[in-house]
Amino acid sequence: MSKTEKIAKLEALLARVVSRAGEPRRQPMAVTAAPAPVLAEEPAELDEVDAETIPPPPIALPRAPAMTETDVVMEVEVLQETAGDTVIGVATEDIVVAESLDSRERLVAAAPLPPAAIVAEAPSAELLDESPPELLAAVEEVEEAPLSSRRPVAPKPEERLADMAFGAEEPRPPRHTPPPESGRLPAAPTVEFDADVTGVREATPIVPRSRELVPEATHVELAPSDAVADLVGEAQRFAPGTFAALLDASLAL
Amino acid sequence: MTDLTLSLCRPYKLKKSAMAVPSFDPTHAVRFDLPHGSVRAGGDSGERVLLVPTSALDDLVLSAPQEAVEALGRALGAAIGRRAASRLDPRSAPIDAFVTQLAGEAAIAGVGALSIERWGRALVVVVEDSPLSSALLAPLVAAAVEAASGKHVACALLSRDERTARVLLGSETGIARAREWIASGIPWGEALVKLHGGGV
Repeated sequence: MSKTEKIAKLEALLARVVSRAGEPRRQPMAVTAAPAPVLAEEPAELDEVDAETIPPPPIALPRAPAMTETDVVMEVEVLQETAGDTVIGVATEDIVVAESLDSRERLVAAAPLPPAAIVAEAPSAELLDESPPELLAAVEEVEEAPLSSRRPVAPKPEERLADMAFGAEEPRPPRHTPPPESGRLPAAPTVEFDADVTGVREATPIVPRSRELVPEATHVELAPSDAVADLVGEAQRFAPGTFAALLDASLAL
Repeated sequence: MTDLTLSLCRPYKLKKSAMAVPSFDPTHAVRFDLPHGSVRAGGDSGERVLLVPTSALDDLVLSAPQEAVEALGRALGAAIGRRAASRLDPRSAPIDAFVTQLAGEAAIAGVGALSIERWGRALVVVVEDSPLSSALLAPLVAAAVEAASGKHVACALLSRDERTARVLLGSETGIARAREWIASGIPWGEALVKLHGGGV
């Protein structure tokens, strides 16, 4: 195809896009030349007991003419910006699915993916080889939080790599904090209150008063009295003057 | 009820007397004549005495009849009383003065520390730290006073413990009643009160 032909085609496409841009948007129902399901061609092998689960007969799609490389156009979301280039993706032909196709079986078993596709999702060896060793080590260090833990979930390795490469927006708090040390409690931080806001005022220190100890004497005035002694009984009237007198008194008993 | 208090009798004790009483002069109270092997109490003209172990007297008290023991005690006490009377006449001497001489002679004889207590009208002689048994001590005290005063004196042992012995001096009838009361279980203090008959 020459350049003039390409230009002509592109101009036709542009005109078509412009015309369609003015129309209201509808849900894309077009299906690009999807390959027919493999299982759809083998209905005889299904269990015929459950007739309702029998998939519907294959839809006879109109044959499209053989498309060249330039004819294959994928449907592309149109991103319109106010002042920029417009990227346009237009399908060459829309395939309209008959809405009258009634079937209670919509699910079609998909063919198992080839192992190569699964392997393809893993990062390629080249990518791993090109990554700096410190980034790889950081990826390996990420450990998954246990289910019962309340620790924050670790970010994804991609985000972590991005944070390490370009810097995180703000430092994350440490996930593991050491337990409080036993012993003395730390002193309470000195908090200054704004007196006008909190109403807390500084009290004037109490100055102890110097007190002098003065004895308080209580004097008792006792009047003299001669009736203090109370004699019970009387003194012995017997008072011998000599030993002989005492002996005589004892002998007289 | 008669009030008999021991405090009223303290002035008559030798050790606790505060009065100025004539002291006992023990000079040459005992003379040992070694060449002749004799010991005399009361100076050159004093009677001859014998130093006897107390254990020998104890054996005698245990083996001899009561009358013999009492006679021995009275003989020992009479000698002490006579020597005390030779120093001071008890009939004219104050109580404490004569007791001082009597106690001095008793101490030289080794009887013990002698003093008196006056319980009302009753005369009680107290002997402390005596090596003699009660069977010898009571008649010894009565005989000493009897020999000094010249009057018949009966005695009764009121109490005796490890250190002190109290001997009541009186008439034969009064001592007999006191012995009965003490034997019946009446304390010797109450016996002395009953001996006074309700009046002092």
